Amino acid sequence: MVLAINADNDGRSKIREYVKEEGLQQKMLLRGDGVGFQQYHIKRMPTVYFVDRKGVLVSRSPGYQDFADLEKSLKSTLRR
Amino acid sequence: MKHLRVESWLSRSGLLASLGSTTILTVLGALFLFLISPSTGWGEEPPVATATWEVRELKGDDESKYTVTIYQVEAPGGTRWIWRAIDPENGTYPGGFPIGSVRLQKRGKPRPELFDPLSPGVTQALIAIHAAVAAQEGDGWADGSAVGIRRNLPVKRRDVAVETGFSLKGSLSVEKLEIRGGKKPLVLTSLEEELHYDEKGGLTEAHWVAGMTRGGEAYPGRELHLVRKEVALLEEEEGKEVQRGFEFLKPVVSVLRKGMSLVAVEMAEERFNKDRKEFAKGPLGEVVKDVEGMLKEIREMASQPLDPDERAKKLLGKAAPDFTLEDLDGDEVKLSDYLGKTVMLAFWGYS
Repeated sequence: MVLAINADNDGRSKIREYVKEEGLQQKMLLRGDGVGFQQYHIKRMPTVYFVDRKGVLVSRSPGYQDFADLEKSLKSTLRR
Repeated sequence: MKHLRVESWLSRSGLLASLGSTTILTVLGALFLFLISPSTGWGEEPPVATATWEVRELKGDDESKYTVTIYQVEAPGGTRWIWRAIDPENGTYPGGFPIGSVRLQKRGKPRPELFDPLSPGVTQALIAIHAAVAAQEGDGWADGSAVGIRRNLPVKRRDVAVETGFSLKGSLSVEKLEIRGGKKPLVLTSLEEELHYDEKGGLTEAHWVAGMTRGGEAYPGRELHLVRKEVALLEEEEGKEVQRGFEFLKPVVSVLRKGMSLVAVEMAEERFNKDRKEFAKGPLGEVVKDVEGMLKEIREMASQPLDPDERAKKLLGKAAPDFTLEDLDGDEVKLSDYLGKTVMLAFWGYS
């Protein structure tokens, strides 16, 4: 499951447009009051976290990542 | 409360004795002693009042309960509700902060003042109370905020017999109402509303139960139940005290909300400690105590390494902090709903 949380407060239509243009498949979530960003100490965008099946936060990758690195994180999370 | 003036204030309005209950319904807005903007003609004395409500909210199987105390005070261009909310069972605050305010405009809907995040639940309850006060028999509109729908819903209300005071029962006046279109339209299929008033025309209870379907299939309904526990007029002096207490707390709470740097927290602390004792005795004393505790907690957090990377490392290996956010369709998505699945969380922006 991929949850993508948008940082901007642009509203649905703009994000929807972007999602369409880029052909994105993830579940897009709105920023809301920003609590999610505080909880997860987001400084740089994008930042990716992996959560395992038990709901434990297992890894964090701030900033742009090589696909290879993300894949590695994903695989190790899936093995848990 | 030093002194209750409810009786004298009401008899002074000179309306109560001469009116039957049906007439009271139509002048409800003008009569009710609290929760009303001054445009309805309070004469020289706007109501400074307080009321405590028990709130129970249901979203599908998710239930939340809290108590909200509202102080109604004067504000430029209208009336302001300063509220404090707490879950009495575990001492937590719905939405994370204990105090906030909503300005009631003379016309239209209450406007949340965003000095701190208004918990969605609290906002919903406040708007619902505000809307229910003006309800009338016959065809009308219910504020959908009560059941999480940000628009007015057509209802038909009728007066039903009760032992004391009077009661209005309302239901959706159309068969169904599409709330959101798209591939899987969200449809409101039922709305039951029940409002109780005391013999003085004051709202004492309000209940809403909404049924919905999404894409033709069952969808978790929503309920909001409000029960008034206490209500009192305040002495003018006490109303001013509430205002002053609120003005004192506002910047501090604002820092709690935004400022995670140690410098910001220390500045807030300094300001808070300077006048804390004075306000601890006032009507918002309980909130002052709450804020004191929060300041301590946040100070601890702020004295940890400032680098988000360092802070974030401490999160790893522990349960992922849970959150509920809306997706593009307006549906709520809760992280913990995906337990049992591996989740990739991507925080992103365009830039």
